[in-house]
Amino acid sequence: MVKVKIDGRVVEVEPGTTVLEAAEKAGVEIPRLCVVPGLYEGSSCRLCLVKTPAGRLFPSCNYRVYRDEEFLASTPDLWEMRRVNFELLLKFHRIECWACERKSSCPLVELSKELLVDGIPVCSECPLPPNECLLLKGELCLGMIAQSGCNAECLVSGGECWGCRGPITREDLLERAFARYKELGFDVKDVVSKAEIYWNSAPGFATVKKVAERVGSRG
Amino acid sequence: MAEALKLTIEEVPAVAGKVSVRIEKDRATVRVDFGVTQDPRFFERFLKGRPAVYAPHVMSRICGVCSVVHLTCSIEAVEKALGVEPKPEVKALRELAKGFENVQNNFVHVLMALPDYTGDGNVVQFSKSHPQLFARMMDINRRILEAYRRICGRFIHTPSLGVASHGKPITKSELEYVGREMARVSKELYELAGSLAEIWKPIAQGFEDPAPTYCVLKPPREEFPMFSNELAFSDGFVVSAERYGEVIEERKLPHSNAKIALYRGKPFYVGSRARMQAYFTLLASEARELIKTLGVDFSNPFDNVKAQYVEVAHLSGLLAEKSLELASRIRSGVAFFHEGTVPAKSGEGVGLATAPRGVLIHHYRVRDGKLEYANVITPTVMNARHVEVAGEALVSWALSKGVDEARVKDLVAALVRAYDPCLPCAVH
Amino acid sequence: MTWILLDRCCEKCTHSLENPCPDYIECRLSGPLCHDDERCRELRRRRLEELRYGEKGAKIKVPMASCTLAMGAEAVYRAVEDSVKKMGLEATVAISGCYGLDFIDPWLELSAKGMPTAIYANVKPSDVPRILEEYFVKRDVGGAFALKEKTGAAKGEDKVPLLSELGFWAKQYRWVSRNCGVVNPESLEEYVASGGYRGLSRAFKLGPEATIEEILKSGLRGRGGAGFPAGMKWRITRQQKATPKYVIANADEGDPGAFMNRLLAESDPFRIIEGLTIAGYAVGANQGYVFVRAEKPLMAKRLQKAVEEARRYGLLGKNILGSGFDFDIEVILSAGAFVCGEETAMIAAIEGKRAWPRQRPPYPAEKGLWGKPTAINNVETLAHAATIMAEGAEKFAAVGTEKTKGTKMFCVTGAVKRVGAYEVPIGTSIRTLVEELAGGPPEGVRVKAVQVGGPSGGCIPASLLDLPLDYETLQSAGAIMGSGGIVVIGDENCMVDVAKFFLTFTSAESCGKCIPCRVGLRVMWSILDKITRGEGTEEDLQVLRQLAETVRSASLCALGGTAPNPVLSTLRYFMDEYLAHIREKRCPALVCRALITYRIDEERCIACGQCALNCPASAISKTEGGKYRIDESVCVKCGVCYAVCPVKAVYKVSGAG
Repeated sequence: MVKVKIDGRVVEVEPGTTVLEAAEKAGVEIPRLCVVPGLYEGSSCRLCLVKTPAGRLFPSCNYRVYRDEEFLASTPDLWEMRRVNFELLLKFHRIECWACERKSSCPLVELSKELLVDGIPVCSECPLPPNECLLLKGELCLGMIAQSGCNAECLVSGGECWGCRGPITREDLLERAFARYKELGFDVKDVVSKAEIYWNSAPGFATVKKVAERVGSRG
Repeated sequence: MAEALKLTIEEVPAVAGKVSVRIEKDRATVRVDFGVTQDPRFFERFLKGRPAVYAPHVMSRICGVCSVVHLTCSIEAVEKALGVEPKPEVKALRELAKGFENVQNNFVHVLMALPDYTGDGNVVQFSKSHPQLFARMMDINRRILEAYRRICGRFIHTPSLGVASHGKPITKSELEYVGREMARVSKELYELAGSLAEIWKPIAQGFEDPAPTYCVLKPPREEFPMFSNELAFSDGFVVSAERYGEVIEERKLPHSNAKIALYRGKPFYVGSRARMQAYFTLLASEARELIKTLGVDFSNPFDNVKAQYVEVAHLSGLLAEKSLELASRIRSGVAFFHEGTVPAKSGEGVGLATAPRGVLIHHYRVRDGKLEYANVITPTVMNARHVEVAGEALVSWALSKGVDEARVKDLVAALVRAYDPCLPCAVH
Repeated sequence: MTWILLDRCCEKCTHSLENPCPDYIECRLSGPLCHDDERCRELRRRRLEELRYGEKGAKIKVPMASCTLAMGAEAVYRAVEDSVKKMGLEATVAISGCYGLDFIDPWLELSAKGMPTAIYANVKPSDVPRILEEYFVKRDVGGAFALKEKTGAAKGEDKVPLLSELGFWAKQYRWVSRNCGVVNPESLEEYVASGGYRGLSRAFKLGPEATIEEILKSGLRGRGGAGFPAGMKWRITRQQKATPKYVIANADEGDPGAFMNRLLAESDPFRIIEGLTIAGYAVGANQGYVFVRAEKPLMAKRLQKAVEEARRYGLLGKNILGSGFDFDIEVILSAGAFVCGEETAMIAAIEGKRAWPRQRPPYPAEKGLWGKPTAINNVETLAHAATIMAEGAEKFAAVGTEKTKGTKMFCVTGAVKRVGAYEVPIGTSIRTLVEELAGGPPEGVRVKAVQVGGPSGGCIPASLLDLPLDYETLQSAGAIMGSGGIVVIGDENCMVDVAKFFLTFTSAESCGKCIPCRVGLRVMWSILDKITRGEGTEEDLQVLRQLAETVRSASLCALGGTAPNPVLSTLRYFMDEYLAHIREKRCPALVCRALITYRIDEERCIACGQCALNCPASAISKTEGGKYRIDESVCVKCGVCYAVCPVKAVYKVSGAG
């Protein structure tokens, strides 16, 4: 058995155990996305990086300990690195929570809350399955273009989303959302008019209006 | 009695919002000014030009404590203006929601104001001197909120209530549960009354309301009303909602951000004290008993709090009945009432609702679906002048009884708390 | 049949492939060793002379390496063959690798008994008859570029300098590149004749442990970029218990502008093969691989040929030189990707998998190819190892710096007069390399910066040219030694554009396995692009820096780990250019298209019409005054008119036009 110290907590593990496994045993939470035991060996998402007291970085999912070692897993710079990394991942991710069957069990949604990264719409937290979306019932819900993080409280209570946490910023997502509004028979002007109640002074509102205009004027 | 007096309460403690009191007495006259220093928020103005169906959602935000009454009163006004008739189940659920708010709000108000009457001075002290009673009351509050959440969802700014719609799916069994639970709550409230009566000391016993005119909603049916199309006054006068402006007038005072309302140019009051008198014959027999047990003196403004307790006990019983009745009307399974679109018509509508603290009026004019004019008169505004007039009378009465200055200030502060735990309603 | 040096001199020689003699190599030059016979010695002497001057006493050497071939060496070779036939010359036409002096490509080297060996520069096929006539018939070397020695026997010798006196040659220390341009790369005989394979022979005599000691003593650090001590790597691999072990030669030189390895492999491949064999012997591996990138086919061909020749003469195979050591080499052609130069990606490629790097630890020395201990070395490192084993560690360590001994090959390209590959001692200043060896910038151009280490390296500003070329100094200056590619950047280049150029390369070559490199480099590129279009903000610089830091520290392998270096170093030294783009929407070097306008100075214009003829957008037309004018609304700013105008009447101004 070897002793592994993570964030000051010491656990004894079998030699060959990964730092990530040791951390779980020690009760230290380290985010990770790409480790699938038996399928993928990890070290791709770089979210699980930990550092030695000397400052060397290793992915904890992959680094196996064979002697007593110490690691830091929760320093501010590590969390900052995770946040930037995660933002990069989201940047080109196909975010279509309104149609995604995984939305109630999506690790990206969990991580976005943990790392305080914006960009995922309220649809990701909505309790209604995709085929029961309020939009399909003619209710103008702003969830597709609104920033999540509220656990979709209003949706849980039976109302629609008014976007009180502000708009999402990715233009391609806004485009797709407005195209869907149009498809489902809503006037993009009505969407903007409802959004304006909370977003009148929001910095991202100009982009929302611009995209709405663009989609609306298309044939 | 002939001395001059100048007292100021910078901020009345234990109310939500900011109100200051200036008491001035010269040789002959007493003047009490209540200055609400809360900033105005222009709710009536900024909705102009926007879709009327958005009004309820926004108006709800006037107050986080009594958001349900603004939400539902606004819905009533919009429905009337657009000529929309909600389904009976939607209306029933709306009345339930409103009833729950009245129960919960006034119950908490009783808890907050009670320390004035027990001699504890504040709620924290009360919780230390009467821990079991306090714990029981907190538990009752929790259960009322839980019941609300079962059928309406989130309590503050309830998202599920809308124009001609109730968005939260509810089941027959849930309504039955809620009904049973509220019946239990009602029973407990009646039982508690005994212990309360022992510690509930009167304040300013013998002091009489100098302007005992009141206003309530005229019940459309033979039961305690949540909404109505008519206003009734203590002098017997009844007026339809649309014509409220003929008798109720709003005025601005220089020393306050809040407006005051006058009935035919004179101060009047609203609230539980008014309602328990007006609806006496509609009350359950246990409620009428309770009035005697607690020794409610309807001429004393301080007994508004006792009236609230009676109202809470009665209403929780009424809610139990209504929940079970609605449960029997719904077929089993999830009932979910939604109106897709509301027509963008033109019209005018006045909603009247029983707010915890009195009568609430929402008056809208709509053109082609867009709000053109909005006026909101809250119960706090309706009580605003009455509080000053009663305050002046109270000061005279207290001084005549030899009460010292510090106690005079306390009495005036307690008077404010007896009407209303929150003043921001007054400024919108 | 001609006797060659690799053959037995007589029956007394006991060497055979089945029963090799341990002194075989030494015996080639200083033999016969096992018996005494003047005839055998004479055999060797005569053969050496034949190798030098050709069998007919006269030799015409045509360099056939990728650099010279690109400049038309093949046509020159045919012209030489033609002329020799036509003129009836008694001369051998031979091939060689390249000296690395690319500014004289294609060159010819003529030698004859009694004549000074002469090098002719920038030879066109049409020049060939004249040159051959001058040298062989008129015995006149006046037209040569340089002479290797002076004999006094030829005309015009005083007019031509000695190669050894020319700065770009004299200042070099050609330790590992000594044979480049000298020997026929396809001939094992010429390699052995030049002293090759003495290293392997000595290694066998010392034994593997002592071989590792020798390499450790020399202080040889990996020349591929990381600079890890080669001896230590071999020792760690040797100490592993698992078998079988492997050695790999990294010939996947991917940096744009770097061609040291290519030059070495095309000009002296046997040195690399020998080095790999020594490495195999030292660590205990019986199988070696040479991994060559697909984009350098001649390199692969020459290495393959060398392997086959080595096998033929028993220098690969069973019981090499009677040592009891079996070793063979397979040359593997990559499918083409920059990331293959990363050792774990290379291993994956050899295993037949997708070339994705693997997280280390465990390091290849412990778990490499097929999970077994593997020592991977750059071909230059292996060439050094072979030379060190032959010449001795002290000689290698006699030059260099305190921390890093020996020499390094550097390729200098860009805004210099003499583009080429130069081998100098570590610690030589950048200025010496750029100005004295490469001749400095051409007329009218000022050096603004020097990019050291390719797309993984950094830009060193002209003010720091006196910095020595060693691992530690370069790292603290924000660059890396890398493979040794040095690009000289003139003042007509925009540093923001340079950073963008390198990011274009690295972001395209990203293997895609990890997020920071795959996405981060793309985002960094788009920010730089935004800045070059005049749409950048100061906030963008903050984001750029933050991203650069994250990509640098969080990436899985060194591709991502070093890709931000050009950005970070240009931000460090050339912030003024970034700020000009951002605050003034101005490109100081007048490069970024969105921020410049092309105009024609009508006074200088001679109305030749070349600009209009070549304009791809048809944006230039004749005015009433007879001169040419650019329609700025149509102009795509390609710069062709600027390049073709014979009188430099086209000029650039700041402004979007």
